[in-house]
Amino acid sequence: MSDPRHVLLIDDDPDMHDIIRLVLEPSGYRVTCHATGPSGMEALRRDQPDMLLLDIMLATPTEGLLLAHQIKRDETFKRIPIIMISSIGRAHGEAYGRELGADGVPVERFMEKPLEPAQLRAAVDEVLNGGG
Amino acid sequence: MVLEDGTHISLSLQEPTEAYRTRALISLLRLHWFVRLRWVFVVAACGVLALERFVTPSVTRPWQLAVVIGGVALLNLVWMVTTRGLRARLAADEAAEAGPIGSAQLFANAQVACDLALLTLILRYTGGVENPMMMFYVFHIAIGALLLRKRQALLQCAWAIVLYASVAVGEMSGRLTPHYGFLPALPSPGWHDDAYYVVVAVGVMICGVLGVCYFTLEIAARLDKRDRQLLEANAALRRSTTAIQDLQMRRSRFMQNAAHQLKAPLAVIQTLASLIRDGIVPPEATRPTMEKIIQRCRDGIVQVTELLTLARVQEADPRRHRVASTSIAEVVTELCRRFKPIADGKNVTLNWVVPEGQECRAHVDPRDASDCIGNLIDNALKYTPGPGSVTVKVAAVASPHRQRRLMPGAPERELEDGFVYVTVKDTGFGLETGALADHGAEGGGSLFDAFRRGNNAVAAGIPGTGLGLSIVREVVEQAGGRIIVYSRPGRGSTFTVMFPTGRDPLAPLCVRDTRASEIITEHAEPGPDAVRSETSSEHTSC
Repeated sequence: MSDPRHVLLIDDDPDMHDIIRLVLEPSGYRVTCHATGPSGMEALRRDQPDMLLLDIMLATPTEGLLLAHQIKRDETFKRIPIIMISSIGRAHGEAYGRELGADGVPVERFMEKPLEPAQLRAAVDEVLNGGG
Repeated sequence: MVLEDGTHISLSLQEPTEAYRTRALISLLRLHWFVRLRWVFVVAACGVLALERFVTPSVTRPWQLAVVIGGVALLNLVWMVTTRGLRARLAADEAAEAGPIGSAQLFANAQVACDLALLTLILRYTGGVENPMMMFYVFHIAIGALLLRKRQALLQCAWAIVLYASVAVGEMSGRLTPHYGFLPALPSPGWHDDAYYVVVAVGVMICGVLGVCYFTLEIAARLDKRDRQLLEANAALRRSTTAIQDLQMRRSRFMQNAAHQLKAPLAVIQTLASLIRDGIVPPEATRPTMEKIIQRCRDGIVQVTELLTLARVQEADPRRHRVASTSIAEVVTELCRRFKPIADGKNVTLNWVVPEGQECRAHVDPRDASDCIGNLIDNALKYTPGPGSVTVKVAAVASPHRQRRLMPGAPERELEDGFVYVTVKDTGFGLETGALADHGAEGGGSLFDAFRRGNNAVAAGIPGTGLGLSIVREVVEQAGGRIIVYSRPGRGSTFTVMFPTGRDPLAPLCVRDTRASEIITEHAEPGPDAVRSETSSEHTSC
């Protein structure tokens, strides 16, 4: 039996950690959670997860976007798919990205909170199975 | 400043009153004005002599006149080379302070002095006191008074008078012989021998030179004054522009972030409810999940309350601070008494020190002062794990000694009079150096921006809305105060807010200083490699 797929979550809201665990772990995913960008990046380098779930607004309103750009510029990590989850819509996220001088949000999927459990599970399945 | 050949010159004017003169001097260098004018004179003089030679071939001018005109041309070459050298120095020296400016002034003095001497020699060989070209002294003195300092201009006047009087008296007394006529083709009127005429001519010259010097100095002084006013108006406009840009950026960010922050708890509540509805939450976890939902509702209410506080502070008339006279000592005492049970509950010692017998009154609205200082104490207690301590001090005197006690270990600084200082010092987490490095100076965001929270606070799971320091900044900026933050990660922070005292309530409102916060962070082990991250600390004075 193969190891469960590893999903790394970076979100400053501890309740979101519980929610993602409740939704994904029954589907066979291994979920690890980090509340800050620096600790999340450290885990990314150390564990090289199969997928990253990333919030936009962490310690600063654009920290998640900066992390996404940083990861997608890195040869080692750019293959890791990212699902951006945030309370701001994609349009606002892209506007933040443009303010930072980036064109768009460099992620595989963008999901707006509140998350519907079934939709989240489907999105993770789809992205990890290459359909995203 | 950009010269006509594209060279950039950057000037740092130390004395605003000298600004006009200094700029005039630089203009002189920029345009080669003196040099070009002198070339015109040399060409005109040669032309006139050639024409005279052509019209009246029998009449000859003394050979010394040609030597003097040649001297003017030769000296002008020297000035030209010196001007280029000075321009190169000004362009190369970005700081361009005393050195090049001092040299330029010396250079201008030398030119005026030499021109006066050469003019006197020309007069000597073209009629002396009989030559009406003595009015050219006035011309040189006017230029000197515009370009030079008052004392230097008066010395040039004295130099011109001595030169002219020497020629006049020398010719009259027969010490300077022979006398050369103004128009050699005509017989000399002999006025140079007439003591009465010589005295009148010298007297007229002295009056003319001194009068022009006085009036030109007066005009220059008025130009200096106007220039100073313009510089001040420009500075005020720059501050206004900065304030407007900063406030616009804050407002834009605030709306986006507020929408996110208000939506976030609702989104979590909805998702948690969906999980319960869909049976994803195990039965034994249902109650804790319901508790989380209730807690998120409470958090949302706290957030809205703080947003309302921020909105109240932002929207209220800023003049309320001017007319208010709040005893900061009383505010601090009341707040500390209120926070004491919370501190005791966390095993944190809360101390407060207020000057004995002093109210430490400042121009800040009492409710806003309470919100501002209350947020600082609340933050300090929140981010200080027990056992620890939080100390609140109030001070009205800003001596260096006092400053060391207010911010122990912080870089030495001179604090200003006219403020009441409130310092909240804790032994908590401190601020992260890295978190501030990406922001601050570029105005892209700062510790005081709404909804900004430190990574260490988030990692430690400490609840917070990220609005407290925004309220602090809003109150301090509106009241015309300042904020200084000194922090060592892992060893605590010291927040100092300054509220103004003794300002005239009827005076016009100052331009809001949106860069009145200064943040200093150091690594836990201060030493030569200590990192400092500072935002601009431009101070607005009224």
